[in-house]
Amino acid sequence: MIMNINIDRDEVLRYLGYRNQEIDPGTNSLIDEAVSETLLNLSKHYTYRIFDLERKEGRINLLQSRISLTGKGISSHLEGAEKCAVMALTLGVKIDEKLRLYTKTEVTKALIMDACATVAVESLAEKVEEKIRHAANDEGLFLTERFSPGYSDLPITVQPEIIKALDAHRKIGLSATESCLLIPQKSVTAVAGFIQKERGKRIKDCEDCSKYKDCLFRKEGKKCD
Amino acid sequence: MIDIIFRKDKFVFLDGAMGTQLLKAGLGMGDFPEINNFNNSDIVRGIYRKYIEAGAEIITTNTFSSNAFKMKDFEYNFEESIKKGIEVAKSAVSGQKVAFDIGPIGQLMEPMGTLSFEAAYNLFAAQVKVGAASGADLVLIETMTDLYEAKAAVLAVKENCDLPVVCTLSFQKDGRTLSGADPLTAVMVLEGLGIDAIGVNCSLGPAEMIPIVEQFVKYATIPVIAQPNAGMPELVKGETVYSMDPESFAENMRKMAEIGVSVFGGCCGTSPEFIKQSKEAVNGLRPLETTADRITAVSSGSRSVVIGNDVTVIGERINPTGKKKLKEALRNRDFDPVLIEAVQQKNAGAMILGVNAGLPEVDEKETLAAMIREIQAVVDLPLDIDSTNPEAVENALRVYNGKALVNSVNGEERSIKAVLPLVKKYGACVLGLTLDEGGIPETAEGRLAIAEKILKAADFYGIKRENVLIDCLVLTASTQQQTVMETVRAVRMVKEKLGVKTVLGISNISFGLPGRDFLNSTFLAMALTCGLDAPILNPLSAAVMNVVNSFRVLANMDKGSEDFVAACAGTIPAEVTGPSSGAGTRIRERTLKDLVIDGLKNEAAAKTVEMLKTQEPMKIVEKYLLPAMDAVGERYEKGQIFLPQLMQAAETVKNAFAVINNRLSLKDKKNLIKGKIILATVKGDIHDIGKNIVKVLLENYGYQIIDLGKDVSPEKIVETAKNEDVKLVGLSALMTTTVKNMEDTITSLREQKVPCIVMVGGAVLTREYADMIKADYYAHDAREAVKIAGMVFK
Repeated sequence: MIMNINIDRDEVLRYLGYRNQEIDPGTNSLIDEAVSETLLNLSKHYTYRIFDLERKEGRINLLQSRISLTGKGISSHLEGAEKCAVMALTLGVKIDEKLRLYTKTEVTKALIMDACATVAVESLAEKVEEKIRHAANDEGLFLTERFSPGYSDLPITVQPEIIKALDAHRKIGLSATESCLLIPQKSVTAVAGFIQKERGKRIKDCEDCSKYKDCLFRKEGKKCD
Repeated sequence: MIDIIFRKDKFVFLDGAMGTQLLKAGLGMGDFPEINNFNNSDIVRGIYRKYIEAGAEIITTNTFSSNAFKMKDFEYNFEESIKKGIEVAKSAVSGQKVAFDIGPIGQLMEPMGTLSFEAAYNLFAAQVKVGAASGADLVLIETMTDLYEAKAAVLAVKENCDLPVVCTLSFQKDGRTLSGADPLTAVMVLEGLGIDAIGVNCSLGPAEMIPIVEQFVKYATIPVIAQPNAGMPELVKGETVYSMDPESFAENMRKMAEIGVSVFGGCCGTSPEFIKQSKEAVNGLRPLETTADRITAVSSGSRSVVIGNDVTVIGERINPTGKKKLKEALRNRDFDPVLIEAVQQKNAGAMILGVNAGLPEVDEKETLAAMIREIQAVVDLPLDIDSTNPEAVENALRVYNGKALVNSVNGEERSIKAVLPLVKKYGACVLGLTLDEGGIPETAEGRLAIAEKILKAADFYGIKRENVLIDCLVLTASTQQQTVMETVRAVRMVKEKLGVKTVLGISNISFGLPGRDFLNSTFLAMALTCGLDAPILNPLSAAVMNVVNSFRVLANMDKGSEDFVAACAGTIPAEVTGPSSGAGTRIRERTLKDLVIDGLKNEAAAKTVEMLKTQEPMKIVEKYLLPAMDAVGERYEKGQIFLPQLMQAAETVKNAFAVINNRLSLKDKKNLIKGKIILATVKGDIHDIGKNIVKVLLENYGYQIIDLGKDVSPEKIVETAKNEDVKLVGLSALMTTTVKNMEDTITSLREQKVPCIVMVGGAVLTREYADMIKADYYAHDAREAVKIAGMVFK
């Protein structure tokens, strides 16, 4: 399945803290350049697995793996789910290479490209989620939204076990550093539950939002909506 | 030993998948399939026996993940796991060989990740020692995707045991590994390191693997291995399935035998039946005689440059000799100017970059290696390692990711003995200079004789002829005018009589004369006509690059003159790399301040050059640049512009400063520096952009930045702050997990009583958090960092 990645310019601007200022032609063309260069340098590697769940002592254990999910956030997110999908996806090392280069030589471009890549990896995550949603629908089930380590109170220390259980290092070249950061940097892992009844968006509170950590609006004490 | 394992006259079969068979036997994998060596050794042994019955002559140990990093939480340590794995495999064989299997570490290496070359080497070396002591017959390094990691593994084997070693890499459908290496580069680097067979495994089915192994066969002189999956993996309902049947698999394996593959096996999804049928399928065929292309090529970690069919430009600019800025940079271990030189030369058409760190006052051994690490993190060109210090060369070759050109060896016994063994060990190319104990011969014949001597010596050390290049040496026309034509003649003779590739340092010709570009260009054209393959030159000189471009047309290298036409259309080669800053904007009558505010980098630099003709450098700084920065900063604070615009303006000021810097007196420079600041992204964190944004802004305001980079240990920060007597330390962290390391750094600074002020920033930080970890200041953005610096250095 070919996944078409879009880089929504408005989203890029949002990551860059844009608030309706006038954008000069130079910056505009730099943004265009960064968008197309990002598209040119991204891979779309992904993999996922489906696990049966076992709830035990406040944890959710994913059977046939060592993944153990903790925290209120994920517990309520997976409420009513008997199975869940765990996905891992990455834009690959080339984007990192470009960012490394521009961070040293053209930091403005690095800044913009970093935002483009963040938008792109979110877009890829959405496509993978969509694919899994179809698989769930085929079984007559529904899929919750995706929930990543680092959202709410789900610790990112679960990353190494996710990578291991999905064989993601071998399959898509994903790894985690000792401090549990994903490498390549523009990568996502996430969990989504298979549920009986469709439900609306659950993620309402800021702290359940995927952008929680780097949201500029929140930092300024605002909310997006 | 290796001749017994890989014979010219017969195919060799490895086994197939172990994991697939364990699953089929109903066994769980637990953390690692290795657990079954302990808990179900009978079943594992049974699987081996089935592979042996099917015709496998080498079986691989079930030890793919047995390294100290992956197994840190496993029931058994990696040593026990390796011992057990080899023991079980050995108990299954009767005459067959046991290959000790080593997989990737599971963590990405620098510069992608945080694992250093030496750390990777040490992990592999520990495995190898156990594997060799446990009686393995050979070592199989498999499923590698990063050539740098493969190099660490191969060196670990070579330096810690005498076993044969083979290596397979895993490729994507696009013909590259996940880290971007192509087959040619894999062969250049790994065959150079002296492995006994090379090949491809995993990721692909046999059909998709054919075009890739074709490339391997084309370039490798050692046996080529193919270990495909049972078809392309498909993801069905979250399970990876392989659906190819043994017949089709075997049919494809036969095709691979026909194009020259001689070692076969299976990866994910395969079973003994796949091996059996493959073996039957190649029945009646014989391995092809090796017909590998004898090419001269150097490589980075991802791509190779083949020398000889085209003009190969070697960039000369990363060399401190006669360059004030680079000297200063190397002394301060600030590699940014080096990186800028690297990128500019690449953009101007360099295909290989010369690197030289020879300064009497720096530790060359250490500096050269550090510089190479930095360069290879941002530029993918192969490097020409230019040093007269064999220790520095060895250190550089070790950390270098790829197949380097060693510059140089000469005809002196001492040089040959010191350099050629290193060239052989690390599989590099070497540049032979035609001089010896008697100096540089006057005549072409004399130089040819030394070239012959070097080639003979190289052969003695087992270095292939195509890996030796010859430099017939350029003497300056101003002092030794009569020798110029001899050099040109020598190039022709070396080329014709010895058939090796030639190199010359072009710029030497014009030392001491005016109009150097004219002389360099003319000499370059003369030498190219006589067969010069790789000139070492300044690619930023439009004059010499014009000769290269036009020569390529006239010598029928630039087919259809495509590159030439494109170069002409682009007019002058870009001096300053950068985006097309504001094309279409009318800029003529604008002041430098306007240009900064609009972030027009190239125009601002040009304007500065022009203004310097009539104005004092300090005046320009005080009257235009600093007020412009303030104006931009203010607009940013008021929300009239956003971050990219602020940064574009900051980069513009930086460019203007770069122009002015050369003209400032030492006193002015000192006056401009307001203070020294350390910036670092803390240990464990690899996000660098935020820190670099702060750096560019602070530099513009006259602060001298000691940039320690990313993933910096508390010790290093403490040590630098002490040694450099730094008053302000800026720390960045982007993740909650690494904020802990930020706290540790601050604690260390306080415990060691380093009298410095600490400011912190980063996406996850808040003021409360900053207080909690006892930072002095919290900078919520780069502009705030400038203000804090202003207060600290008031």
